[in-house]
Amino acid sequence: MKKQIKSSDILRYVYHETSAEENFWIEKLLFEEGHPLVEEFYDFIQMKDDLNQLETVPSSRTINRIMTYARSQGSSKKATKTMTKTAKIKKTLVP
Amino acid sequence: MTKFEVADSELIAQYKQGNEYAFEVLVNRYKNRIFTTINLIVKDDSVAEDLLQETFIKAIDTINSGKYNEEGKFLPWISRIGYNMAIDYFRKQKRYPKVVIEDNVKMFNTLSFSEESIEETRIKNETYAKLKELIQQLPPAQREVLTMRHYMKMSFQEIAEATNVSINTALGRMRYALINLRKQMKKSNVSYEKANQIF
Repeated sequence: MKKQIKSSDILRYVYHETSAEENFWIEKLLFEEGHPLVEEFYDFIQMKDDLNQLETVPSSRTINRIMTYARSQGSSKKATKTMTKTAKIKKTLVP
Repeated sequence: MTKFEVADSELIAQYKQGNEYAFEVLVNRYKNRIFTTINLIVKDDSVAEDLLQETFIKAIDTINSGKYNEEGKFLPWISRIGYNMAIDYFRKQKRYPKVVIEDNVKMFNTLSFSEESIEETRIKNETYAKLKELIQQLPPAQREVLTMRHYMKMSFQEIAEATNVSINTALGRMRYALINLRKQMKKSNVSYEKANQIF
């Protein structure tokens, strides 16, 4: 039976949401049989590439602040753990 | 999606055990995508920087409190935090996104200026500034799906659930967004095709 593909299938294919079986049929119809949706496929690919180029970069100052917070929370967690451990030991020692 | 050597879930597990470097890897892995998501909504670099910081702080607090249970889907989860913060920011400000886009060279991080001629750089800058402007002009529902799928890496199914529409509607909106952008780019920018040849 001849498989049919729709624009939504091409879109899912471009964003890697199709199964291996779907990939097989989409590739066969698009590239071997010259399906009319091939032009739309190339438009999607081109736009996807263009959108990737728009990715913006935060300042290193912001990233440093985030990491300082992540470290402080990690340290406080460790400190809490140590305190709990110490408290437990103390509890055990106290008659 | 890009496959990384160490999975996000493994990095989070290591951070929970006290390995701060593991969290730094996560931050560096996704900072640009989350920042881009926020920036596309608030359209203000300094606000986006603040919201990015708040987003990661919220994520750190959630992870450290043991409430994180996204099972490996870190990027959609943290992007969603950032997205909600950006939307909340607008609600608090009681204003709508500005349409005017500030032309900012630092936006285009993936371009290697040193290897390009001034003319090539100018064409690329103009092209991507135009694209950014066109994204802001998309109907809100299309812009939302585009941001969620492309930058937040949510699947079409996840977007459908998050926006209370069918998966076909989500796919349809994304299709129209991409087709609209492509059409407008071709129509409005004579150097677009030239720029594509350079890439």
